[in-house]
Amino acid sequence: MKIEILNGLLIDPKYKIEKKENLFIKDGLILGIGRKPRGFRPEVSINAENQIVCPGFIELSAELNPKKDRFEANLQQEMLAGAKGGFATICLTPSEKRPLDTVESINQINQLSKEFIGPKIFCIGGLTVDLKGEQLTEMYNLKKAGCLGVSNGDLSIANTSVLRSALLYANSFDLKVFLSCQEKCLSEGSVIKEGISSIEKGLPFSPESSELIELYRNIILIKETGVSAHLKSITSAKSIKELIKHGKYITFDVSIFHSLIAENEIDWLNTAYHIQPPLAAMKDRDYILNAIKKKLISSLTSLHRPRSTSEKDGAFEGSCAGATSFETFLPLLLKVKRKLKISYLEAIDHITYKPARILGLNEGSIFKNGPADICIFDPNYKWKVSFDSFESTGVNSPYLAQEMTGKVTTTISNGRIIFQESKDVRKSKPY
Amino acid sequence: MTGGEIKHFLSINSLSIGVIHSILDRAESFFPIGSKSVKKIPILRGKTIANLFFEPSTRTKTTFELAASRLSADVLNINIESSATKKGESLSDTLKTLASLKTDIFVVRHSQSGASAFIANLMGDQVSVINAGDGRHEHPTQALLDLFTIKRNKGNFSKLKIAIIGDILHSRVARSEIFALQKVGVKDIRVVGPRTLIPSNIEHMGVKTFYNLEQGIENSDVIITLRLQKERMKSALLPSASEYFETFGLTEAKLDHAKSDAIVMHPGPINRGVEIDSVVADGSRSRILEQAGNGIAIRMAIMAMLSGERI
Repeated sequence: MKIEILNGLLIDPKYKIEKKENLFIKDGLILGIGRKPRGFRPEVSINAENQIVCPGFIELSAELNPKKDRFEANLQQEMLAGAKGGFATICLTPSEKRPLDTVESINQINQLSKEFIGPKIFCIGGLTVDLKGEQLTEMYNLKKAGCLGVSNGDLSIANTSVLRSALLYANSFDLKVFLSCQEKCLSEGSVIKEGISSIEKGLPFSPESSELIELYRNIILIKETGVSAHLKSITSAKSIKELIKHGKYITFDVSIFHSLIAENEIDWLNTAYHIQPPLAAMKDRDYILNAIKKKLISSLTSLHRPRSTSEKDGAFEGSCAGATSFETFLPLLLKVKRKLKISYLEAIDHITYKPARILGLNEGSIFKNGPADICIFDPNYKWKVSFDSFESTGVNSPYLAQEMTGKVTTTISNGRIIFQESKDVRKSKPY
Repeated sequence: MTGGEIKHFLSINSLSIGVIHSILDRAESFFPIGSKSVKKIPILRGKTIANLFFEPSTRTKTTFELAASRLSADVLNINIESSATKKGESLSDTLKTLASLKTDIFVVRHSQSGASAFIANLMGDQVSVINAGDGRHEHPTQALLDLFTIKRNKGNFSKLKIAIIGDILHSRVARSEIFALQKVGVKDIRVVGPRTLIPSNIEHMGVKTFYNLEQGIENSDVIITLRLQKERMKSALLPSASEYFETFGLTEAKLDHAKSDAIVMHPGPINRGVEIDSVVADGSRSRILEQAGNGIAIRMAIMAMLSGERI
């Protein structure tokens, strides 16, 4: 497949390119940047005038819908959702219902994802069996099956001895571990961080110490075991201040939701705001934004957690945690950009080159003979979020009915167009 | 004021002082009905009130039922534990079905904070919702009946010193009491208990915190003791009931620290020998039984208001 992308503003964070350039793609690779290669005859020509052309987005930590039935359709829909959001690569994280703790489960995803149109799918394998924090998984075999790392998902391992062993064992096979930072007992059942709202609304809360205790325990064990580690979904200012001291050997991410929403801005009648870890105080949200500006955050994530309508039915406290995120990620990233007055290059870096480095992938940048993973977006396009905006199995977005600025128009993964605005690529074969 | 301006009765925090006083005044006018030989007035004749208790309750459920009955409404007690929600139907679908039966008011008790607001939002103008206690959030009718009891015993609110003792952390009653007392102008509100049962930063709600019972009730006019909400306690918060009684249980001796005419209240059910000594619970300063009776008048006033009755 030969594709040319003309007249777009090319932005590549790795090579610090911010220039109007044409791109030429052939057989899944970037054939040329700038001048058209001799004899190149494109089968598809995309006019990206007034649009931005950048590396395809990379999601570090997405979950599938926990519904057990219709797994194939579920995976396919989330891949389409990712494509619509500009993601060319998605890394699935283990979850309670899908612990990704066996080679069979990884093989199934690997095989199915290759059959569907959509982003490249990678897995982070389970760190313990069923994520129960008791028995180690066959990490060596998980790595052989293609896992880029291991994780206990959003669940903490309560038994420190098991956690220590898990880190040591992972390090035996040079596997990176992805750890959450919410202490199990202090955070269990909580839907909110401790603060004014938790007092006034009478909601189960997790105290600030929950994240800090888990963070310190993780840091101590990471140092002691020497394992390569990444900490997931950091929410507090104190945690970031601590992590900055360990920047050489520990990376960490924050979610787009924690960057934009503070707990006092939650609509308590909208269960889409119920996410884990819970949204933090305004001072923490502001600190996160400031840390993004100062380039202290290792990566941003969408924290994509699609949930069915029935799982989100009921009161805030009783609803399932999680928000769908792929399709609204770009306009939210642009919102962060506008708030912080940072460049496109700086904003895009957080979802392309930075996560690629964490995952050890070649993707996340645009270079000759590199993988042709591209996102093209119109930064000024205004649209309103509706149920129809989502390909995802979940419509549990806190941004439903809100106005957005910025929209992905084309996503290319491995040189294939996996999403194109106004073209129904779902019904056609991949280019 | 005119009734019908409020569609749902969900929290004290969202009520205006005018509405609170209107309800208290109307409850006062309903109060004598309980002493008459025919304890019924036709205000809600033809209306249907559904009790949806997702959590067990004796006192609240009974007084709501009695209040509705005295207003001549038809009462529907839904056994929610064995209802369709247990058979896999979503809560929303169950509620929509109940609403389609043309009920006028849902009285809702639920273990989750915010459940009543969720149901009210779902119902919109179709059905009025009364919050009869949601998780740790609020128990607004209890707070109003307590205000009513205090008003009947003490008259003016503004100069009172009121202590709330016990499990503040898990108590929806405490939250509603604090909002209600502040709205009617009580300036000295104290919360008293061990640090494990008092949320940090509760001072932001405008209360004083005490971790010693004697100091907390010093010179107080009203003492409200609360039940330990064991069903909501997930971790080790107290070593034993006996040590709790020794430190925060209200006894005759400790009551000496309050004013001599101080009254003692408790939303019930009471645990004798845990949060309160029998001698105090049954003593002359106790208003616990009076509270239960006052609950009927308050709930009548609230139902009348939601039904559009001028109050």
